[in-house]
Amino acid sequence: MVKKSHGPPEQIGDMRNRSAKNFVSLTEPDAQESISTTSVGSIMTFKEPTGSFHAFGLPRSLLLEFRLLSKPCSVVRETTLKAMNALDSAKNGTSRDSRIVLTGDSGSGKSFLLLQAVDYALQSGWIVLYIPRAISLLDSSTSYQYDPRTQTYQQPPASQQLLKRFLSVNNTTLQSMKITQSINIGRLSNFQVGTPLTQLIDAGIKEPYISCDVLSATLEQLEHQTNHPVLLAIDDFQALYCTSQYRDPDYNRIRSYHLSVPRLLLEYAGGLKSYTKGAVLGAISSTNTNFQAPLELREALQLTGKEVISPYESRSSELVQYMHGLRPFQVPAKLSVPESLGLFGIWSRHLALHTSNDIYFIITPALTSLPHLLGPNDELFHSKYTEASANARQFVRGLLGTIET
Amino acid sequence: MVHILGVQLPEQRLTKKAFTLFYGIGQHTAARLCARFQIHDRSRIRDLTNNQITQIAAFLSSPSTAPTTPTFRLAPPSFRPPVVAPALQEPSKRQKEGLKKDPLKDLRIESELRREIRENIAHHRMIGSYVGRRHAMNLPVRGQRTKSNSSTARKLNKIERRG
Repeated sequence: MVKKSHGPPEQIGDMRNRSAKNFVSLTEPDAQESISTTSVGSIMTFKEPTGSFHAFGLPRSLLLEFRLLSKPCSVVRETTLKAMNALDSAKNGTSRDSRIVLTGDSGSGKSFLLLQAVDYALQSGWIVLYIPRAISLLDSSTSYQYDPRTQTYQQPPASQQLLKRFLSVNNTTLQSMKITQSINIGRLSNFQVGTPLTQLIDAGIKEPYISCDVLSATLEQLEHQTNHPVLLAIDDFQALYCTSQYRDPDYNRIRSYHLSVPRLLLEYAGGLKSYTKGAVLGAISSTNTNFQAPLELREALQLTGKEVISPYESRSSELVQYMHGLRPFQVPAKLSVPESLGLFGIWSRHLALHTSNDIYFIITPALTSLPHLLGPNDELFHSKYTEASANARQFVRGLLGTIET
Repeated sequence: MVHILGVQLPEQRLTKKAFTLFYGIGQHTAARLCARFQIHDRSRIRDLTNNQITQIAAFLSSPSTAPTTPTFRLAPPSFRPPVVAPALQEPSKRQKEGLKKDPLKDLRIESELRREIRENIAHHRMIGSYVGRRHAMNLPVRGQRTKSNSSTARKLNKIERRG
């Protein structure tokens, strides 16, 4: 446990020793150890099978943090262990029964928790489709085209990119899989029962005009297999329920369920389609103000506690159909002390704090009011912990704010 | 570089911004044009297909005679797509009556727009109105002060106004 300091030190040597004593030693991450056996508060590097973060991409805030760190790592929290248990219990059930949405305050660690869950699932042999930025499917950044067969707007480049990422991460698992149900979509009827699934996915990657149909056919083929559970992990989950920034020819904004890829994700999230073995895991984000969780979603996830809702507010019946059975998973707003000590350890170990363990100037009483100059010590930790009110994002920002130029 | 109706559109320019290079098309009309042809916001001129460029050129050459915007049927949540694509259906009479007026129908660009402006000024001159006299004298038309600050009007207000 962290000890309190007792007054200013008198010599440089004392300070060095004091900072060494007060700095809590953390368990070194063991490369072979799995997350489930690690204690709360310890640092865990992501195993990242087959470079999954590079393949799937990351949410923007996490990407920026990992660029500063020498290696992507995170702190194991109590909620991490709960999430692992939830995934373990969902392994043998249908995804209709395990549609979990991570909710919580801004900066409480929902995206990080989702990433830990994805990493754990990949290590445990799940087939994972991770969408780090669902907003990019709705912000009019990729091409779209109306398809009269599905009566939706198809998104060929977005589907192509998803297929590529999905194949690259789950290649070894998908190699052994074959098409078990006949595909009755016009251009895809050439793929007979018994064809390897990777062949279907490759066709979708090479030819953009069939990539949307291939993506939905691939996910449908995975519905009935029971060898590997399937995890659909979506960050910015609330964006799937917002109106997109795409416009139809009459200049009206297109609803999310009229775009092919968001519609596909909504069907699994809403239980209209499900995997025999699998789960759907989403994380809400409040960072982007153009895609805030709509009233229907806030009501479905019981997030409207303190809000005053007018009785005249309309709710979209179509959207509500895609929300039945979503289970909220509350991420605690505050980090506990062991967890924040772990975070403190990550950032000080990576020398991100512009503090020094070797003091080359004379210690004066005045310097004790500047704890960040005296090495990573408990004053610094407690001051940053209190300033952030134990919020994870604010805590890390506070630590990075010790950089002085 | 793509040429449409005599205007050069640079390859790396965003399509929505590139459309504003046409005389008579501003930001809002450009956004409506992009929606009309299902061009996303981040598209650049180099991403447009030949088919799209032809459609845009055909539309801009005479917007008033272009076919009406198609009304697409959109799938409700319970919709299950058929195996074969059906033929595009005409919107029902009720749908047609409910459609708002298409602002792109009245779009005029380039030489047509310049001609219309000159015709309007010529009309004012012909009927002997105040507006016509001010254009003829190269002075401000809309009641601005002339004691100072009328340089733009002195430069641009003419009977044969350039544009």
